[in-house]
Amino acid sequence: MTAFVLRRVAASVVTLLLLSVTIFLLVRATGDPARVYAGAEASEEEVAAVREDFGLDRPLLAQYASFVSDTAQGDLGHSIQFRQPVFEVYMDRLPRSLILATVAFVLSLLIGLPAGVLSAVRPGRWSAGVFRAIALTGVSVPNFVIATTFILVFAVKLGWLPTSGSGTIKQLVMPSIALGWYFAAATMRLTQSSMLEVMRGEYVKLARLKGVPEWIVIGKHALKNALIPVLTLAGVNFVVMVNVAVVIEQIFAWPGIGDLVYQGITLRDFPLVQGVVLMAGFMVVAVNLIVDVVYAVLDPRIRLDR
Amino acid sequence: MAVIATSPTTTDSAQEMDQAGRRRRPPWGRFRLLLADAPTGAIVIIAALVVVAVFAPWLAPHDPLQPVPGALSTTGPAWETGDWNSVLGTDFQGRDILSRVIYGTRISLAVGLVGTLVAGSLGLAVGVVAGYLGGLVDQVLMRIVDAWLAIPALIFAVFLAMVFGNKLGIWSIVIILGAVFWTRYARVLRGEVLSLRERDFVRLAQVAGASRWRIMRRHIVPNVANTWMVLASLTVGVVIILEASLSFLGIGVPPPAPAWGSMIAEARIPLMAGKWVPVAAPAVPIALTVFAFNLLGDWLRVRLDPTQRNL
Repeated sequence: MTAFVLRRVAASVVTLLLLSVTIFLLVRATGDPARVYAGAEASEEEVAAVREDFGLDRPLLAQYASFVSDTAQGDLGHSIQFRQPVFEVYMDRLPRSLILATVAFVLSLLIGLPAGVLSAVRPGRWSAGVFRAIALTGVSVPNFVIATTFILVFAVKLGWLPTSGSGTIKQLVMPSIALGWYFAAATMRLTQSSMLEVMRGEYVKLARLKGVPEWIVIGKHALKNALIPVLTLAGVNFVVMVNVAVVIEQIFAWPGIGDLVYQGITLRDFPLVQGVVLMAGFMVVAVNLIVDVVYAVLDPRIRLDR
Repeated sequence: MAVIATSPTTTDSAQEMDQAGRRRRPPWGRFRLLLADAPTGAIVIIAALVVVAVFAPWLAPHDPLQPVPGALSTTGPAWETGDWNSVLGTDFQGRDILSRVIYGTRISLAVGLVGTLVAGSLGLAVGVVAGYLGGLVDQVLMRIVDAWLAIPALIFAVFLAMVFGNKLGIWSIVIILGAVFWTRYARVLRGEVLSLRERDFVRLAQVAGASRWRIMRRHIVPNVANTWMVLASLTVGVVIILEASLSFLGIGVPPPAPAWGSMIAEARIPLMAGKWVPVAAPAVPIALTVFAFNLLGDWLRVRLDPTQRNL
């Protein structure tokens, strides 16, 4: 067990290092990283100042060494607009994004899981058709289209919900559904294919032959195993929802991390965007690691597999 | 007894009918069989989009980039104003919305298809090389894929768009989309290649002295073509959505090009006044396009992979 955990931790560290190399090299791929950091509209003096500040005239390896050691210590650079460390700005915004993402996440599981199971167990029923339509809409209609439609119908025409802002439950309704829809669809499709796969297993046949009631076969025997890939995806999805609700947060004026990225884009505040990329990458790798270790604890076969 | 007596005749007649049927079957019969359960709706939508994109200059009533002469800005649709000169009305600069939507088809399809092709080619190359060569090459390439996959697509695209700007115009966005999505192909195709390289025909080619490059090209790539097609058809929709999202955020296809995503962003002010046409005009085509490609991809997945048939 310890060996397995250590191996997975080592692999995650390697992934993070490669992630940092990727970001580091991409920023320098255009030839003038000082220009990228300072913003396209910056004057020559400002660019020169950034070059000096960041030590961008030093050898590449020395630059990379300080980039990695800074990042590892939580120093993600300074935001140009906010005039404070990116990490602090990120942490300020995190709670709002966590609220939005949690509600969207719970919604996506509440809809996606039962819908996926039902359409696997009862294909051909009208319910399967309805779920398929919802899922296809979720993956086909961009969330900003869903969001603008919601605003038009429920805020402008009907006046039931406020168009934007945060703080009240009512203001949470539209953004969380608009954000969660796609993930509900993704969860549903994966649950369905995973259930179908598992239901073909010998142990499901055995359970049925033993005369176990069908709902126990599905709910206990099949679902338990079918959930493994679904929950792996769900872990990553949650992190993604926290970090990439750029469009949704901008439309509904929700002051979270997505809104931060939007400000980074419009105000040409590159360190801000780079900081969110690093945080998102770190969180995805961390969640994958945690999920893997939890499964290894629950299911010994996973440990032996690798 | 009766059954035994009649069975030869039925078989005979069945064979005759079969032979007759075979003789009567036109040369395109096999092709028709292949398309028997194709999603007609999706194919019709995609064909219509291609026609609109190709013939945009003839179909569009006005110049998509210039204000309609004599027209006001942000006018309503013809059924409200009675002015059939601009059927869906004009945008905030007085440009004809219908013409912009028609020209926007070109952008969405071009970016969606070329972006998918760029991602697919890179992913195919990396996946085949990693899977076939194995060992250290595989380890290094797959760890890089892991690292790239860890960054959520939208935020990665935003990052790349800010680094590279739009110096190359519409082609920057194609390259950015390719850079974001190649990892998905690489990961899946590498898995396929791992099992392919243990197969007899590959072993035989190795014994026959074929070079590694030749085996990859002649024996591996054709055998992952089906999977590649499925991945590609399912990627087109995601690529189109990501392009629209970037354009919506103002870092996609640079203005004044009529990208559907930027048209929706521009239409948000009239929306607050209850004017829904400027938003719906580009939103419906986006949804239809992505919907059609997703249907096609789902069908191909089932069609080309027998183990998925029951999905």
